Formats: sequence, C-alpha cells, structure tokens
Amino acid sequence: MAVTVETLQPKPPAANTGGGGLPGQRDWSGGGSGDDGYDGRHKQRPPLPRRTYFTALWLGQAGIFMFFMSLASSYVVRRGIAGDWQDLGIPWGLWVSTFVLLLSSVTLEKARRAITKADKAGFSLWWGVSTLLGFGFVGAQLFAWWQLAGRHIFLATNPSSSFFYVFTALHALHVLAGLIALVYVWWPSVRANVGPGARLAPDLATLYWHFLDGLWILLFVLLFIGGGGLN
Amino acid sequence: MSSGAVGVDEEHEVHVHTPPTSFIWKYVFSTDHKVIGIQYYTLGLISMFVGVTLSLLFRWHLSHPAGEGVKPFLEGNQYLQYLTMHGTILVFMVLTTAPLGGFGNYVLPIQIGAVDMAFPRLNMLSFWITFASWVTLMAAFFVPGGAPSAGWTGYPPLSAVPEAVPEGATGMNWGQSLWVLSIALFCIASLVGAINFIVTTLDLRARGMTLMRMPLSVWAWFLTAIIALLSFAVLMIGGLLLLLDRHLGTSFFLPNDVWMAGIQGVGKEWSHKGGSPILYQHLFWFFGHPEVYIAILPSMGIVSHIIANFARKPIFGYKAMVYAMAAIGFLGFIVWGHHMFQSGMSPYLAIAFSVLTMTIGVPSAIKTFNWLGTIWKGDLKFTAAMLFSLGFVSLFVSGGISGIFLGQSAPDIYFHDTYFVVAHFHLIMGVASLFGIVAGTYYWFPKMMGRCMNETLGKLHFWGTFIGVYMIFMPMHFIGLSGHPRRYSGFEFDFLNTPEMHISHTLITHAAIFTAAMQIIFVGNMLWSLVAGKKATENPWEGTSLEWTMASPPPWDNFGGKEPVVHHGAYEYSVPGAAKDYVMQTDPPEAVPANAHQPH
Amino acid sequence: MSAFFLAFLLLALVLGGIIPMAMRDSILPQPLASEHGKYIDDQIRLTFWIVGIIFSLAQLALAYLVIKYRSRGQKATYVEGHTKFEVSMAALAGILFVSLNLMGQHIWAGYHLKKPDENTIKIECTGMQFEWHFRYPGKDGVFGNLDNRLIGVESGDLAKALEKEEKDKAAGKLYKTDRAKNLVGVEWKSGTPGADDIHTSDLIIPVDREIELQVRGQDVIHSVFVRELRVKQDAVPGLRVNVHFKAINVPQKLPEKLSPPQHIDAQDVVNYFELACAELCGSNHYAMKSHVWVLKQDAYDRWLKAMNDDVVKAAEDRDK
Repeated sequence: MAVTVETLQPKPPAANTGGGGLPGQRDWSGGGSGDDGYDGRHKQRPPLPRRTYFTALWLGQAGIFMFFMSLASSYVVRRGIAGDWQDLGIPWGLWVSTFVLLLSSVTLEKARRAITKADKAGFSLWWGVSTLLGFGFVGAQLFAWWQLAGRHIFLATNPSSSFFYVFTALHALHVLAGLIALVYVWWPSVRANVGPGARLAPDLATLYWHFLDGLWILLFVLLFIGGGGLN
Repeated sequence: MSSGAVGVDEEHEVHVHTPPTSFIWKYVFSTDHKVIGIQYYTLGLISMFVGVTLSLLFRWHLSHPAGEGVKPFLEGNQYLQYLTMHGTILVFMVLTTAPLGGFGNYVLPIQIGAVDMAFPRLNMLSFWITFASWVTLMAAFFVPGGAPSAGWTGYPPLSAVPEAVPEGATGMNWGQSLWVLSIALFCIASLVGAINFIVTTLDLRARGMTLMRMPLSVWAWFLTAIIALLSFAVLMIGGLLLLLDRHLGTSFFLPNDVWMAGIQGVGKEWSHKGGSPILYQHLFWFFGHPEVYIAILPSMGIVSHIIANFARKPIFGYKAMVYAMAAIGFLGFIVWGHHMFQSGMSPYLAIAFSVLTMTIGVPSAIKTFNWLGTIWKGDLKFTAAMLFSLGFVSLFVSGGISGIFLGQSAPDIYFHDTYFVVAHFHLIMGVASLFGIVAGTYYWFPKMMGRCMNETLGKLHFWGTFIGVYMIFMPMHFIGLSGHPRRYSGFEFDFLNTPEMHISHTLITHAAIFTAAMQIIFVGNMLWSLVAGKKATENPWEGTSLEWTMASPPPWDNFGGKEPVVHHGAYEYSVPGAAKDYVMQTDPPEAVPANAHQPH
Repeated sequence: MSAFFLAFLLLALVLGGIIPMAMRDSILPQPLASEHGKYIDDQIRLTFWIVGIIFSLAQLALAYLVIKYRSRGQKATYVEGHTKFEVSMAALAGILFVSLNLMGQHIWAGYHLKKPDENTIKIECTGMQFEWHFRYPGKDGVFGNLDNRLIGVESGDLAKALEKEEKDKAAGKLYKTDRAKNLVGVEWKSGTPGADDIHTSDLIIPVDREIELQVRGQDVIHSVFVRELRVKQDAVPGLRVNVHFKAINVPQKLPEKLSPPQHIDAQDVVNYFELACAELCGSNHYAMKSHVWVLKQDAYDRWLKAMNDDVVKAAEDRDK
C-alpha cells in the first residue's frame, strides 16, 4: 500500500499494527478523508529516500556556509584596511553561550543514542534538555549583548562591534530555525512516534544543530582573534 | 532503498489520485511543479513587459535630447531611476526567473522521469517569496523618493547615503532600501529553489536515467542551481551590510574622508569611518559574475536540446557539453574582478583576474563549436524554436567576442563604463538568454498548453526580433568605441554632441521600439493559441526525451501512475539501423542496434 | 526560405560589423595622445583582428551550415562527436586567448605599477559631485594636508575652523560651509606645505613628461576619463589611486574658439581634450565636464610660475 511521504514527519503504517516500531502508533498523515490520508493536494509517489532529506540539508548548509564565509572574509578585509579597528574584548557571556551550545550538541547525541536503544524516556529527557540548552544559548547571547550595551558598545560604535552584532544576530537567527526544529521533534505528539525505524526528523534536526555548533566555533574563533581576548 | 520512515512499502506501484479541484489549490497555492513553472514564467513575462517599457522610455529620452526650447523627456533623476529598475527587473525578475524557475520547474522533473520536485511545498514557497520580492521591488516606484537611482549595481557611497542625492530630488530614499530588501528576499527564494533542483536531479531520476543520459537542459538547470546556491548567499551579505550602512550607522562600505554638500555642507556630521566601497564591489561581483552564468546556462541547455531535435542528430560531443557547462560554472566563480579593473583594487589582483577571465573563452568556444557540429550533416527543420536556437548561437558568438576586449585589463582602461560594455552584456546575457527562453516557449508550449502556437507568426517574430536586436546593439559597440560613457542622460560633451552620436541614438531607439513591437506578435500568438490553437499531439516535434511520452498537456501526476524506465540517451536521432529517425529514451533497448555507438 | 534568409542576415551581420570597423582610420578616437595609449591601441587592434576573424568564421560557418544541411529529404548522419578534434580546438582557443592577454599585461604594469622619478609631475585629481578639481604641489613639491573639516574654510586654518564650529554650535547656529571657498579641504595657512598648492578645475600638463595622477573621490565614486589619453581611473572616497601616463605631441585640429584657463595663450596649446566622469555618481553624472590642456614645456613652465605667483599673492592677502 502506498503512503504519501513528503513531510519530515515520520510515517507509521496506515493500519494500526504497531509492528516494528514503538507501541501505540497511529496514522499521522494529517487528517484527510481517505484512510491513507490523501487530501487531494499531494501526489502519490514512492517515498523519498532518507538520503534525499540529508542531501537537501547539506545543500542548505552549504548556502548558509557561503553566507557566513562572505561575512567572514569581509571581516578580515575590514580589519586590515583602516586603522580604526578597536579590539572588542569578548564579553564572558559569549563564552558561556559557547559552552552551552557545545553541551547541547552532546546531549543531543545522547538523545540520538536513546532512539537507537528504543529508550523512549531517555530520548524525551535528553532531547528536552538539549532544547532547553538551545534556548539557553540564545539567552546567553542576549546576555552578552546586554554586557556590551553596558559598556556602551552598540552596532555602529566600531567596526569590530558592527561585525560582532551582525555575526551573532545572523547566527542566532539560524539557531532560531534550529530551535523550531528541536521543539517540533520534542512536541508530545511527534516524539511519541520516534523510534529506531522512524527517526528522520530527529536525525535531520541534530545534523543541522551540529552544523550550527561547528559554525559557531568558527565564528567564535574569528571574533576572538579579532576581538583580542577576554573581558 | 531504505526510507527511514516506519512501515512504508518499497518497490510498489504509485496510484493515481485526482488532482485538486478548487481554484485556489489548483492555480494559486499549488505544489504542482507544472503550475509553479507557469507562475514563474508569467512573472517573468510581466516583468519583461515592465522592464522593456522602462527602456523605451529612457531610450526615447536619449534620442530627443533637451535643447533650445526643447524640454527633456524625462525630468530630474527619472532617467537614472528607470535605468536602475530596468536593469534590476530584467536581471532578477526575468533572466533568473523565467529560464530557471519557469522552464526548469516545469520541464526538469518530467525530463528525468519524476512525478514532481523532491519538495513540492518548498517549491511553492520559493515561488511566493519570489513574488513577495517582486512586489517589494515594484513598490519602490510608489514610495516617497520613488525608485532607486544608483544603477542595478547599487555602489556605495551613492547607494548608502540618502544625502548623496540633492534634497528634493528623487531616487535615494525608501526606494533604495526597498531595492535591497527585494533582492534579499529574492536571494532566499533562489537558495530554497536551488536546493530543490539539485536534490531532485540527484535522487529522483527514473530507473535507467543515468546522469549521462539526462538531456542537456537538465544538466544546465542542475549546474545553474549549484551556481545559484553558492552565489546568492554572498549577495545577501552585500545587501544586508548595505542596508545596515544606510539605516543603522555602520561603516562597512563607507570610509571616513567623505564630504557631501548635503551633510557637512549644512553643518551635519559624517558619522562613518574606515569602510571600503570596494568591499561592496567584491561582495556584489562575487555574486554578480556567477549570476550572468545563471542567466545564460539554462538557455544553453534548452538550445542544445532544441538544436538536436530539429537537426535530427545527436548533440555533437554530449560529454564535452556537460564538462564545458561545468567548467563555465566553476570558472565563473574566480573571475569576478574583471568587473573591477578600474575600481582602485590592487593592480596585481587585476592581472590575476584578467588572465583567468580569458580561460572562460575555452569552454564557451567548445560549446559553440559543438552547436555547429550538431548542425553539420544534419537534416535541419526550421521551426520557430529552431530559428531562435540558431539565433542564440549567433548572438552568443557576437556577445562573447566583445568580452575578449573587456577581459584584458589594459584595453578595459578605455572600454570600462562605456557603451561597449552595454553592448557586450546585452547581447550575451540579455538577448541570447531571451532567445533561449523564447525558443523554449515555442518548443514546449504545445506540451504545456495542449495547443500549438502558430508557426508562421513564430517565424515572423523571429525575423523581426533577430534583425531588431542586432540593430539595437551593434551600433552600441561603435558609440562605445568612441568613448560614450554609460548611464549618461544628456549630451554636455562636444564629443557626444556630434551628428553621428545623435543619429546612432535615434537608430538604436527606433530599433528598440521596432523590436519591442515585434514581441506583441509573440504574446498575441501565445494568447490566441491558448484558446484557438491547433490541438497538440503527444510528440509534435518527434523528440526523444521523456516529456514527449505523455499527453499534451501532461496529466496531473505526469506519468499516469507508472514510473518510466529509460534505456537510451537523450539524443538518439537518425540512429543507423533504427526503425524511425528518432528513438525515444523509453523505447526498448533493442531500438538502438548494439553497434550504433561508434567510439569517437 | 528560412535557411537562405538566415544566412543572408548572418552575412549582413558580418559585413555590417567588420566593414565599418575596417573603414575607420583608427578603431579608437584620434588623436591618440599618450605613450601607453599607443600600446593600448595596438593591443586592441590585434584583438580586433583575432576576434574579427573568429566572429566572421563562426557566423559564416553557421550561415553555410544552415544552407547546406537544410532539410531536403536527406538523412542526418549519426555523429556523436569527435573528441580529439574537440580537445585540440579547446587547447588552441586557450593558448590563443591567454597569450593575447599576457601580451598586453605590460601596459597595465606601466600604467599602475611604475615608480615616479624626479621628472614625474604629480597632480592630484579629486572627483566630487559634480565637478573635477586638480591640485599641484607647488614650489615646495609637497602636497598640503587635506582635512575634510577644511572644506569650505577660506582661511585654510584648521584650528580657526574648529573654533568657529564650536562657537556656532554653542550659539545654536547652523555651521554652514561654502565648498567653493576651499574645494578639497587643504590646510593652506602660512607656513604649511599647502600654502603654495596650485588649484585648477582643468588638468594642465606639459607634453612629453611623465605624469602621476593621484585620483581620489570626495563624496561618491566617480571616474576620471580622458578618451584621447586612454586614461580612466575610478575616483574612490577613502582611496588614493595613482595612474601614470605621458602626453605625446600629436597634431590635432583644435576648436576655433579656445578659452584656455588664465595664464595660458591659445597658441601654446598643443592638445586639448575633454575630461568626463565614467562612474555613476548621481543626477549630473553626465555633466561633470572638465578639460585637459597639453602645453609645450616652456609654456607649462610659464603657466606654473604665473600660478605660483598668484598663489603667493593670495596667501599674502589672506594673512592681511
């Protein structure tokens, strides 16, 4: 039997068999009239291979990478030209946010291990912790901004601060998208269906999150080198 | 293959379901790649109309210069505003939407044997973001200050400082900011769209459709999407930093020793320091050069496909064509500095860019050679689609050739920012690309609409347009050689106020009006054929690719529930020993005798 | 039918493109008036020949092929390609284009990378909305300091200017300047290197002397362009870019009514060119007009002396 699969949502079988997955699964295709969830808008076709979703995500990440790399090269160039660059002094809030982000990647991996072991409770726990840490990251970044504002350093104060705010704001925007993905997976109705054979959404979200993490490390190092040390 | 989703069967037949019936889901918020393709195409067509009208307005201004008792046709900054919008609309809203978003969306999934794009809803999203971008751009005409006037390239400081334009004048207010915002939206839409194209081509090909059996049009869209993915992100940064400089007081592109009559002259302070206008140019052109390949590559693919069809011959050197397109795409990323030779950037960097620019001539020459090779020993049918494709080859040569002057840094000292450059990019990017779009329209209209366009009108359209575009742009080379600078709205200089210059401008303007009028035939033909054209058969052109295996227009799910199986390459025309003079990709393997493929 | 008409159009294209070019006495405007310009013209001429041949061959090949292989009931020949031929064509094209390019790079090097010697005359060129301004270093051979706060300040005294600005601000008055009084913001109070700088709105140079033009922009990007000298350089705010050229003595039919700047006699003018802006800079981009006056060496020396005297007198008047 055919089932439409073009959303990130893991699709259990139409019949309520519960075989091979977590107990108590139900049909999740979104409330259409037929029992296969057809709603008149989507075509039937073989489900997309798992690989396709990952390719798409990698391509998106390539675009995002180019985005930040052009900003980074502008940073390097701008720092080198006029003599008006003032080293910023990275507020310690940023260090905290970095630590929190790294931690969230670790806990996310723990959540993924839990899926493999079909440990539903463990998955829920670690995924939830990661999501909270994700929010913590954004919070710590906002705190770092608050610290800078306290030193009267704003967007246009100095080119180093301009880049600081632009880098962190743009990265945080992408993190927000990641947070939406994390929250989505953690939503009770979604996380109830996650299992060793139904893990597309958590795996995709995790890959994106690790990407943001790696990107942040790069940016942080760049800002650190250009910012001249700890404050 | 594993799908990762629980409980989904592999290897099954796809069932047919009825398509959506309500108007909104069928035509407005459709996720069907065919509808989305037509939406993009229509957006491109409307934009074409707007952009061309703008050009006719400022061309009229040029051929009726102000003089004794003669008021100028356009007032104030209007000339520069129309020029800016003409460029922006045509580059983004026509040359990027129609060939890639329009034809790519419609034809690519069909030509690879897929039911739709990999992510149809994402596809719909990218169209609507493009539409939002379009609305934002058009809104610039209606805000205080009117449309921007800093050129489609928008160099700071002119584009970054509202006071760069005298108070009360138009062109540097909200319009410039909307321009940036529109482009930012366009970037996002393009990035999302590019992901879809790439993933679809990689993963959704039907059985037997290997990469080397794909039509060249698919290769072109695929490679174009990769270029778009990597380049639009950089434009977004350029635009974002420009917006910050404009509105939030940053100094990415604005240096400290700037003095403007509208700022320090009236006691205000210049608050920026240490930025570099050239940094903007690097960011812009790092995108800008790949963008011209985004504009031309799809047309190259379409034209290759059409020429093979109407020469009844395989494309000459299929693999070389693929590698040439890939080389053009790759090299396109490392030559952007040739737009900046005279910008004040390092002369050493200029030398590097100049030598690299020459290398792009190589794959371009290969492609031209191969188009000629395809026609050679063929059996040429001169349909409207074929005529436009042949016209493309001529225009590609003409436009590409002038690039050889411009790519050398020393000759460029003279040619930069003259009409010679205008002639070059219009021929190679504007007109050639447009010919590809038009050729594709004549070729695929029967398939898409189920009715044929009138061939006689199509031929008439070709003759008029082909003559017209050369009459417009060939003289521009000559006035460029005389040193006529770009973006000039008047004739203050003695060297411009000569009879030859004025005659040239008048000739160009009249040719432009003529050519624009010719397009009425095209649009009229399309509209009329939609309702009263001859009904199209499945394969009116006797083509080999997958779109010709289905009804015209195609059923909602393309292949009627059965996945096609491909046994042949895309250009099996006039195969010796075959039954007909073409073998479709889905014909049984025996249709092409084993010894037909000779080593070459 | 279609094939013949298309071939005819392509032939017309080739003839229409090549004949007017071949008929011109020169490809670029005359008189060609600079030393490096000779090389540029030669390079362009060489490129034109190579490109012209390629262009003609390609268009005529297309014309020939469409006629020869128009459908007359023949069967197309199944040819998939010819790799060897392709590779050699590609290699040929590559060698041709790259060699052509490398041949011309010495011109670029001379234009930008040359070092000035004691004979080089340095002239600063500033582009602004919407005029050009030139500055000569004067007797001391040193350019005076530039400061934007001195633009419009007649005294050329920075301390005085800042004082006045403070006073006006304190009194709540608008501190306005009139750029025309000090166009580029030179510090020219007595005793400074700028006191003897010479200012002109036209570019005045002697023939057969190396010129280093230091190009800068005041507000937005402009570009100084003199056709006959084959000179162009973007004038960018925040940058100072040097270009080198030498005007050569060439015959030129000068306009009947010449109005040279002060201290120049019409008969001393060897050549006279228009100087235009070549980068979009705003509404009057098309009207940023200036001129180049190429003088005989002795006339230039006389002009320079007269201008020096003027500058000294103007400085004395200011001090009074």
